Amino acid sequence: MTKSLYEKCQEEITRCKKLYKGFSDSSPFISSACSAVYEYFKEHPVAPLPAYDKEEAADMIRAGNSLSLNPNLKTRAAVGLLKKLGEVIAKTNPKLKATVNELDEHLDQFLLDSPEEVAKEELFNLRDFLIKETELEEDLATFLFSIMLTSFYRQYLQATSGVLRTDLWERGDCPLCGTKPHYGQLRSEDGAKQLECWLCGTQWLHTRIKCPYCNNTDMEKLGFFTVEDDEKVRVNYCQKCCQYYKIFDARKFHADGGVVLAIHNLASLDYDLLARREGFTPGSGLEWVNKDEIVEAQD
Amino acid sequence: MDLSRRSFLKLAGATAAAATLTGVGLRKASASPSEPLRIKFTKEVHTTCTYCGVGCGIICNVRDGVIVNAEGDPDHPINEGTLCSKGASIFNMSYIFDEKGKPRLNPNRLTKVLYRAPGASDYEAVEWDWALEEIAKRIKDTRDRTLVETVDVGGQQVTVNRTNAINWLGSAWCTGEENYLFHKMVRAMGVINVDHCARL
Repeated sequence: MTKSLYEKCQEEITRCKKLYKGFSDSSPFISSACSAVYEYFKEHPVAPLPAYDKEEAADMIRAGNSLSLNPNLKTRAAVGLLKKLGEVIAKTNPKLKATVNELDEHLDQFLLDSPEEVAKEELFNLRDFLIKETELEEDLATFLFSIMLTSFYRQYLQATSGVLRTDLWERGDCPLCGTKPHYGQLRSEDGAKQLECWLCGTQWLHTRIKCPYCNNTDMEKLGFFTVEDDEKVRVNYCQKCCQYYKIFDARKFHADGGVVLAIHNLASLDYDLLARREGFTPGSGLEWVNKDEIVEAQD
Repeated sequence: MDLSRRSFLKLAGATAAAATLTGVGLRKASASPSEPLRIKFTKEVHTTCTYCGVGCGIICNVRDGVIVNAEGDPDHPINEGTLCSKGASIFNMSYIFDEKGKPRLNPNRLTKVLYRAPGASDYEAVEWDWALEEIAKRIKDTRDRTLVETVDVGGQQVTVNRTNAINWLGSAWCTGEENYLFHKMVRAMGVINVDHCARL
């Protein structure tokens, strides 16, 4: 995490405290987690991967093919950052110390059993394993692994991100790494829907009335919900594929660009729960809701 | 029975505390049964502005069958999310917001044909059939009364079949095709004063 991104995150946390009811309680944890990530990369800097050839990248995007850049991560670095975030959890809630220690043991074992570099998919397998074998629940696991992965991806792909022609991209998945988005925004200047990759941070425009997951454009099957007296967060859903994503209406923030949507996502997890209870699944595959939270409402 | 280590420890009642986001302060407010969040479902519907021939794209937000908002369509190649002041108020063609901010049918919207007879001070509501009949009858009467069939041009009678008594004003609310047909119709009647309130 660069210093400027770290500073932007802290500013966004302050803004979100005013915008989202109840976020003040959770903001100290998010703020500490951001600081931990920033500190970690100050001690262990990451070099960006060489940029993709600009013309070649433009040709691929024009042809409708994502660059699908998915570099392997250094196992030691990934585990190191996860442990650092674990320290923040234990510090925030000392009752979770035993659970964090248990996680650390599994992470040490993973480090011993794995090669020097691992693919993103192997880290997702590790996440699933930890959910199964430890007291780590789905939502916190998603937090830990998504923060860890996005921190590396944003830095690795930084050079190519700078030459990417996102204006030529019309698909719903990320033009840079191929990941399905979890959130986006309605741009403050014109209300255009701009999706953002939760993994590498790439932003691109997408047709307002279209599902980014199944490309459905049937207006009868598409829609969004908001909660009463609050129009800044929309949960867009598709009744054809039964998936959802969140859209933050930047026109309601009165922010002059540069909104860190990842923070808004964390501040609006209520909406993920509501969407899950309405029977929609996250199109991104990021599960921010625990099973017992969904079941509670059905009882 | 396939038991994971976690399930086994849970059964044995010997587990560490569950690590959830709630545990670190990220409470999901919607999870609370005491303060449930009320959901409002909305559909987004494409339409085209009817004010003028530019044909700007509009997205209407429809909730329970009622339009609650209309905004420029950012994906439309003509207006790219913008609307003129008239287009931006197109919502009010059907609805207005009351003092509580709820949409209500606009009471000023014309839903009947209003007719003001020559010399009368007030309008009266009339039937569509009567109005259309009357308009056709009066146009034909005026045209027949005032039709000039020929004019003298340098001592020669030239056929013109025209009337100066009628002026036809096309509407910017109509499509180009509709205005084309109007134009043909009135030319056929001999109307030569044809104009259009274009806002292009």
